[in-house]
Amino acid sequence: MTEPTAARRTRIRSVARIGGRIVGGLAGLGLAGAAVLGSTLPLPTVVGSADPVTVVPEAADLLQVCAGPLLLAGGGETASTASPVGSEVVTRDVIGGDESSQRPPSSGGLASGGSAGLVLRLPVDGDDSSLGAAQSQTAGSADLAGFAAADCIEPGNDQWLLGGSTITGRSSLLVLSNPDEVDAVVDLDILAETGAVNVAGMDGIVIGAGTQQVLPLAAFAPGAEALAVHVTSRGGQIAASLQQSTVRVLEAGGADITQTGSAPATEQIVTGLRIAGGERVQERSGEADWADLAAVVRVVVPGELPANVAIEVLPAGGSSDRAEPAVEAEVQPGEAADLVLPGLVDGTYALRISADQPIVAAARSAVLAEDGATDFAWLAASAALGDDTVVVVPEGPSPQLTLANPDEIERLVRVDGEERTVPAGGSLPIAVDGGASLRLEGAEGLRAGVSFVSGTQIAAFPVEAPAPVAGTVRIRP
Amino acid sequence: MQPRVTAILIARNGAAQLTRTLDALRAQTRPPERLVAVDLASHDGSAQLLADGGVAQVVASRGGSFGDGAAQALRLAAADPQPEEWLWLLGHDAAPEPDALRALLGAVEIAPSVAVAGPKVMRSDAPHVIASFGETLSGLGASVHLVEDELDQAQHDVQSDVLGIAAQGMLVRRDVWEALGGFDPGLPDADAGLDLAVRARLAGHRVIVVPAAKVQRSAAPEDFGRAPGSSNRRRRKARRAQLHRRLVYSPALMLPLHWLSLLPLALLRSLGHLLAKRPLAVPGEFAAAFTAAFGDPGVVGARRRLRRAKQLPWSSVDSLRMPWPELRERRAAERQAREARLAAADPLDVAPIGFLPGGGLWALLIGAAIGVVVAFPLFGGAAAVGGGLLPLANSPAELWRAALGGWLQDGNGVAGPADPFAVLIALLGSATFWQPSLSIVVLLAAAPALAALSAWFLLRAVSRRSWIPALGAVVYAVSPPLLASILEGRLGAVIALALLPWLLLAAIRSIRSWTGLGAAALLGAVVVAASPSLAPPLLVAWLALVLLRPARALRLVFMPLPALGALAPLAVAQFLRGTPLAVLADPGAVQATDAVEGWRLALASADGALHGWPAVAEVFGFSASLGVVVAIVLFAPLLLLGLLGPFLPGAARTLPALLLAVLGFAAAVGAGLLRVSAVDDGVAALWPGAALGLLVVGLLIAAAGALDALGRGAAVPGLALLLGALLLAVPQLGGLYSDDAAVRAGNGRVLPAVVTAESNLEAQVGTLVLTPQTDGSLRARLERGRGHGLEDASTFAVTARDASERDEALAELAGNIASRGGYDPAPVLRQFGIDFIVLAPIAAEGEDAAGGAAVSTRAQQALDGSADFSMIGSSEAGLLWRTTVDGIDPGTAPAAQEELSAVVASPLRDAGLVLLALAALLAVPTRLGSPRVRESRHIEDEAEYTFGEEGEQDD
Repeated sequence: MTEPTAARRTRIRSVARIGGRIVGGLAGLGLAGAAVLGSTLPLPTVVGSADPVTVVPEAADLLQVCAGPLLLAGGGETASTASPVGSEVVTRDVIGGDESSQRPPSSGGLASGGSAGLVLRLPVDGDDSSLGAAQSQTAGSADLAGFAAADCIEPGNDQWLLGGSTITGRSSLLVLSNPDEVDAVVDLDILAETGAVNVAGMDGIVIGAGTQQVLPLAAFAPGAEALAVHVTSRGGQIAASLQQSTVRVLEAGGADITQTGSAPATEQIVTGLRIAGGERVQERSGEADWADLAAVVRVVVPGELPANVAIEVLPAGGSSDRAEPAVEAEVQPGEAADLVLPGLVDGTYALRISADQPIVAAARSAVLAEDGATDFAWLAASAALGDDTVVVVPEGPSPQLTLANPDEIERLVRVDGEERTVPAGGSLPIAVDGGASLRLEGAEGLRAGVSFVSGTQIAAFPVEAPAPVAGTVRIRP
Repeated sequence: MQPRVTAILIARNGAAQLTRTLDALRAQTRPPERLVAVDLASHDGSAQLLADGGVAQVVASRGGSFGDGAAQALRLAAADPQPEEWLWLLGHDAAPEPDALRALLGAVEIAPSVAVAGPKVMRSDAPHVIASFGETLSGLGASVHLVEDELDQAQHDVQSDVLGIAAQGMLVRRDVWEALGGFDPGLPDADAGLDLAVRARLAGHRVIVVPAAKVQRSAAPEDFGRAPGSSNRRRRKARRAQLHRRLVYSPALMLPLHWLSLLPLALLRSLGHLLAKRPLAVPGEFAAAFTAAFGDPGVVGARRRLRRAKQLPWSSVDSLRMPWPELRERRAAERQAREARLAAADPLDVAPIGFLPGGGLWALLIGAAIGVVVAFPLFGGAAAVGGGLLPLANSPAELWRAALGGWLQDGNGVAGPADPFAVLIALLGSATFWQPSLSIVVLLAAAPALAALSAWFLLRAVSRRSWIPALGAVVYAVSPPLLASILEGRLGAVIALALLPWLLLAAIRSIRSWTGLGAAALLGAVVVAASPSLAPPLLVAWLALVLLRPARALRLVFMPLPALGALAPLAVAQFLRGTPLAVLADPGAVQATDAVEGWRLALASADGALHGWPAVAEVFGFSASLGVVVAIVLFAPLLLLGLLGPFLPGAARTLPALLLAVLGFAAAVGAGLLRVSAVDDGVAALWPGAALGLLVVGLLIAAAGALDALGRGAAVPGLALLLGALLLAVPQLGGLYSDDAAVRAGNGRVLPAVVTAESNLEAQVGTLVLTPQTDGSLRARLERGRGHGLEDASTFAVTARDASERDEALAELAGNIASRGGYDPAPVLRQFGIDFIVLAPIAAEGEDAAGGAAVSTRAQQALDGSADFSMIGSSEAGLLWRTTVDGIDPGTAPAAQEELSAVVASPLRDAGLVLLALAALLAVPTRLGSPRVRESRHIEDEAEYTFGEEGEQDD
C-alpha cells in the first residue's frame, strides 16, 4: 500500500531533519572531545624573555678593625671610663696598594687621651687586593697583667661574643667600633648563666659614625658568672670585641680579648685550644675564686628549644670514625652554659661541638705558672675558610696555626707553598713565626685558629672567614 | 476660439507600455490636434513601435530627460506656435483614460487664468491607487506630495488650486510654456513639474488639478525609462533637486550663505541618517551637496529665467505651502504606517517575553545580591587593591591624560601607546569623578548583576519559555570565570565577561538590523579593549558569521573595525618592536598566571583549582580528589545539557553555540601558551578565564536550547543545572573574606604617605621601589608622583623583551645601592631625579618568602649603612628612605621620544576613535528610521500599500 506522496515527503523531510541533528550533535561532541584531547598534546609556547640584569656591585674598601689596647675598667676619670694599659703591636699584611690607618675618636667609655683600636682601610684595586692584620699585647701592670692576641676583623651586623664574667674581680668591657660613615644603632642581648638579662639601655645604643665606644658589661649584668653578648646593629656596621681581665684579691690574673666566632649553627669547631700544665690548672681550679681557670666550653642556644650538645675532640692524628663524645649535655635556651672539659693532656686540640639546635660556642683554657702567675684565653669557634686565606700571626710566644678538618676525607693544604695533610676528622697544629703572615691555599671548608702559649701567657683567636663579599645581585627592571 | 492641443509623447525604453498609451490616445473622446512623439534614445525598439503605431511625427533624440524631450519635440516638430495652443505632456506609460483630455480642457476653459492643469496620476500596477495628485512646498522648500499612494475613493476630488503638479500628463498653455522657458534643465527628473508650476504661479497664473482626468504612471519620475533604482538613489536625486531649487529660488543676498551651508548641512544630515539607521544614504547626501555646490552650472540660467518671468512676490504662494503642523502630522502618520506594515510583514518577529513577567527582574536582583555578597569586604576602603587592581588617580583629568597620552608612566617610562583598556578605566573613573577608585569597587559589586542582565537578554532570543532565560542568567552570574575574575581583581575580564552575552546578542541581531550592527561593533571594541585575549576567538566567530551570511557580508565587515581600530596603535607599536603577539597581553596590573591542564580548563576553572572545591575538601578532612569529583559532578549538568543541545530540535541555534564553546576552550588553551608579560620573578601567561567565559556562554546557549526543546521534561534538568551552578560557586563566594585573598580594600595609596604628600608639592618626585622576589632577585621600578595607578598599567611596558639603556642604568643603580660597596649613587640619582627609595615587602608568603628574605635583608642593611640615604620609617608599602644627596630635581617628565611607532600610532588612534564614534551613532536605538533591514524576498502578495521605497529594500 503506497502512502500519499505528500505525507511520504514530509516523513522523509522529518527523517532527514532528525538525521541531520544526530550528525550535527555527534559532530559537536566529537569536536569537543578532540579539543580536550588536543590540549593534552605538547603545544608550542611563546615566551617573552624577561631575564633579569645581573649587577656586580662595586666593591667597598677593605676594612680591618682592631680591638685596641687592653683597657683597665674604671681607670679613667670616672668609674665608667676605661683607660688603656700600654699599647698593642699590630701586624699587618697588605697587598695591592697602600692602606690608610687611623685611630677613631671615642664616643664614650674611654678616658680622654686614650687611643682606640686601629682601623685599616684599603681601596679595592682589582681582584688581588687583600688586607689582613692582627694585634697582640703583653700587659704587666699591677692592675692588669696578661697576654692578649686578637685578629683585626671586618665589621658586621650580627655578632656573638662569648666570654667573661662580671663577678668580683672580673671585668668585661665591650668595645664597639663603627668605621662606617653612618651612625650605627646597636642592640645588645646579654645572656648570663641564669638566663637573659633585661635591663634598660641595652637597645638603641648609638655609636656615631667613625667612632668607638666602650661599654662595661657590669653596668648591665653585674655578678654574672658566665656571659654571652649578642650584638646587632642597624645602619653602620660594628666591629665588637670583648675585653676581659681578672684580679684575684690584689693580684692580676690574666687578660684576654675575644671577638665573634662563627654564626649560630648545629656544628661548631673550636680550633687551636692549647692545654699546658693542665694538671696544675685542674688542681688549682678546685679552689674558690680559681674556678674560672678550668677548661670549659661555653655554649649558648639562641633559639627557643633546648639543645642536646655533644663535644668531641678532633685529635691531631685524626680518626676514621667519630670519637666518643667527651662531653654530652642538654643546654637550655637563652642561657650561657659552661660545660667543663674532662682532663685533657697538654697539647693542641680542635673540638667539635654538635647539637640538634643551632648553637654558638667558645672554649676557654688557662695556664698557671709555679709562682702563681696565670693567664687565660677565650677561643671562639672558627668559621669555615674560603679557598685562599691570608693568616696574619702577631707577635707572641710559640705561635701555632691549627687546622681542623671536620670532613670524612683528608685534605691537602698548602701553607705558604708547603703541602700539608690535614687528617679526616682531625686537626693539624703547625708551628709558625710570630709577627708575620702566611698564605693558606686549598683550605676551603676547613677551620683554622692561631694560638700562643708559654708558661705564663696564653692567647688564641680563630682565623676569620672571608666576609661575604657583596655578590652579584639580579635586578628585574 | 477652440483650443488646439499638441500632445507630446516622450518615450524612453517604454516598449512594454507604449502600445497601451497609443491606444489610449487614439481612444480619447476629445483627441489632440497634433501628436508629436519623442524617442529618448531607447534601445528596446520604442522608436519602431512609435512609427508603427501611426504617430505622424517622431523625433529621434539622442537622449536627455523628460523636459529635454519636450523641448526638442517643440523645437523640431511643432515649431509654429498656434493661438490658444495647449501642450499635453505624456510619458510612454501615461495610458490616459478616454475622457482625460476632455476633463482637462473643460477645467481650463471655464477658468481663463489657469495656465497649468494636472490630471490625477494613478499607478500602472494598481490603477485604483493615486500615485500623485498635486505637490507643494514645505516652509523650507522641500517638495511634499499632497497625495501619495492612497486608494482613490474620491476623498481628494475637492482639491483644485495647488502649488505644483507632476510632470506626467501636464496640460500647459504654449505661450506660458515659452515665457517660462519650459522645464528647468537642471531638474531632469525630480521636481520638474513642481518647479514649472511654481514659476507659473509666480508669473501670475493659476495651477489646478483636475480630478476627473486620470493618467497613469509606472514609476517615479527618477526612474522614468530606467530600471527601478534603490531608495538611496532616489533620495540622492530628490536632495539634488531640492538643493538646485534652493539655489535658484533664494534671494541674491542669501545665495552665498546657502552655498556655504551646503556641506555643513550635508554633514548634519549624514549624522541624522546614521541615527535613523540609513548609513548607506550618507554617500548620496555628500554627492548631492558636492554636485549642487560645484557641478551645477544650470543655476545661473535658471535664476535668469525665474527673474524674467516672476511677477509676484514669494509671499503670494505662501498660502499654498504646507504648514508645519500638518507636515509633522503627515510624517508621523507615514512612519506609523510603515512600522505597521513591517511588523505585520515580518513573520519572524514573534513578541519576545517581557522583562518583568519573564523573570528578568528576579535574575537581576539575584545577580545584585551575589555581587554584594562577593564584594562586601571591599566596601568602606578608599580603593580595591591587590591581584590585578591598583588605585586610580585622584582626578578624571589624570585618567584621561594617561589614556590618551603617549608617554607612559609604567615601568621606567617607556615611550609607547597606552592600552585601549586605559580608556575604559578613564570612563569608569569619570563616572565617579569625586573618587575614581570607587567606580572599580562598584563595578566589582555590580558585575554579577550586569552579567545576569545581559545573559537574560541573550537567552531570551534563544528560548520562548519564561523561566529558561532567568535560570540561565542566574547560572551565568555565578559562573566560575566571572567569580574568579572578581576574586583575582582582573578588571578587564570582569568587564568582558559581563558584556559578552550582549555582544553575542548584538551580533545575532546585526544580520537584520543596523542598530544591532552598531551595537555589536561598539561592544566588540569594548570587550576586546578590556580583554585582548578574546580578540582571536571573536574574530574567528565573526568570520564564521560572514561565511554563513554572505549576503550581508558587506555590512558585517564593519563589525570588527572599531575593535581593530582600538587595538591598532598598540598592535603597530608591538609589531614594530618585534613582539607582535604581545598585543594580546592582559591589561591591568600583571599577576602571575600559569598554564592550566586541558581537562581543568574544560571544567571552566581558569587557575586549575577547580573553583576551590579540593581545598574545601581538605579543610574538612577529606582528600583533595573528592573535591575534584564534586566539582566535576556539579559542573556536569551544564556540560551535558550543552552537548545534548544539537541533538534536539532547535539545533540551528545550539550547534553554533556549542561550536562557539569549543572555540572558547581552544582560545583558553592557547592563552596559557602565550607567556609574554613580565611579572615578579618570571613571565606570566595570558589568563584563560575570559575565553572560558566564552565557553560558558556557548554551553549556556546550547543548554537553554536543549531545555527549550525538552518541553515538559525540562524541569528536572533545569533544576539540576541551577543547583549545580549555585553549589559550584559556594567556595568562590566567600573568596574575598579569607585572609589570603588577593583583592582587599586599601587606602588608595600606592607609595608611602610621605611620598604621596611630597607629590602634592612636586608632581614628578621620583621614587625607586625595590621588591624582593622569591628567587633572590630584586625588581626595581621607578615611579613618579604618587606612584602609578591602574590607568598607568601598560602591556607595552611589561611585554618588553629587552632591557633598554634606561632600564640597565636603573638596574645598575638598584643593584649597587642594594649592596654594600664603594658605589657613588649621586650622579645616577640626580640623572633620574630620585628622592625616595622604598623597599617593598616580599611578594610572596610562607616558605616561598625564604628566597626573598636574604636579598631583602641585604638591601635593607646596605641602604641603612649608606650615608646617601636616611631612613624615614616603615609603612604598609614598605620601608622608606630619603636620599640625602643634594641637587635632586625631578623636573618635568621627559618628552616622549619620537619613535616611528609613536608617529604611526597616533593617527591610528584618532582613526580608531572616529570608528568608535560611528559605531556609537549607529548603535543608538532610535525610532527615526526603519527599525530593521529586511532580507529581500518576494513580497508581491503582501499588502497593496507597500511601496518599494522608503528604505525597505536595499541593494
